[in-house]
Amino acid sequence: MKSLFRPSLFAAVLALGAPAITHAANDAVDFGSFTAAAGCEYVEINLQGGLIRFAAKLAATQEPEAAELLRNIKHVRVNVVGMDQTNRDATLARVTGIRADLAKRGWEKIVTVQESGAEGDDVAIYMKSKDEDSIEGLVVTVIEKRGKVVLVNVVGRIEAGQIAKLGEKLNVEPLRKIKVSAQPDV
Amino acid sequence: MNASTPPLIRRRRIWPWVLGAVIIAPVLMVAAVAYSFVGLDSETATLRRHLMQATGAEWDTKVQLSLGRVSFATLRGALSFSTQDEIAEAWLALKGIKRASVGVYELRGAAKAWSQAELMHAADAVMQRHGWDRIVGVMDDGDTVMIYMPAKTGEPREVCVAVVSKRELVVVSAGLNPEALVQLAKRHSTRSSHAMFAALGR
Repeated sequence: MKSLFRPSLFAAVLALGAPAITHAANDAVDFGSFTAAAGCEYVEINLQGGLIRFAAKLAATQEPEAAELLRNIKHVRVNVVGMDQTNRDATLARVTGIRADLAKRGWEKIVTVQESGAEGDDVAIYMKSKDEDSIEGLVVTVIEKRGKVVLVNVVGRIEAGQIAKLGEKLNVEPLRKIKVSAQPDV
Repeated sequence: MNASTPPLIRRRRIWPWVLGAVIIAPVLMVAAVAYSFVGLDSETATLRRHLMQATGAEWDTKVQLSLGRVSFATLRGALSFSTQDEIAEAWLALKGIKRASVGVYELRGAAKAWSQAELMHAADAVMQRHGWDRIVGVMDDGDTVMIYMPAKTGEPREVCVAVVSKRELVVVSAGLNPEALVQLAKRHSTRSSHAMFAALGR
């Protein structure tokens, strides 16, 4: 009886835990690794929950609102890839692939900006929402035609109206400009 | 009558050895402590070695220094006698660091061109083998910056930073006390709010 009980309990724990694990993995988007071009800007930031919670503790006394916001964040990833002839095609193909993959996986595109002209930027922002007012994951993809790609993935519970504040606190420029209403525009 | 003579026991004199040990031990200890001050801890030294190899250049040591828990505790102990506010803050800042290892190196000879991406890959490979993940990587205008933390860490208790510029290489690793850092942040915020209220009252 005991021998039957143990594997069943283990299976039950696995079954209960599995959706949560898969869910967390779904929200964190793997951008993969990019090829840096010689002499071009390249930034890669990968912050996990522990460090973000620590930042929340540091901010708690001075900015309790920001601390509360950070406390709900599980993962932040930022990639900035400068492009030249050596990596332009591969980088653009990767970003296009990421966008297509997000759409396929049910991420909702909330912002699309395609500025005209050779200097125009191409911005697409995706989110995964929990309910009407809160977001579980956010992906910002920016292709600057002047030769730079910016990718940001934030995982965690974010109130729709707090995205710009989050961008300000994490110093992520594309997020600062976002204003999402409770009912997102699709 | 017993004709046999008692065996001659040669007594070893141990006091010269004891005296020698007493004289040499402090010298050895001082040498070991001095060596620990001027050397890097093993992980930082490994990172430095791999970075230097990846650049393919020769580097001269400008500064190389390690301070352990005992050194930081001694410094904190020395500062604890002062009641000045600034010293108290320095004491708290020192409490935030458990140990630190710093190395600064200068490129020998003419500037060399190396691949920043290969430099980062080399550093990543060696740090991952030792259980560290890169949380920040920046390559810009010839400067490469890498920040590592132990994989799957909660609060930042260990951090390792490497900066490679065109002529300089810097490696730093430190053991941190997150609780003390939070205390320091709180103290700063309290002081700034006191200053703000004082300014408002004026």
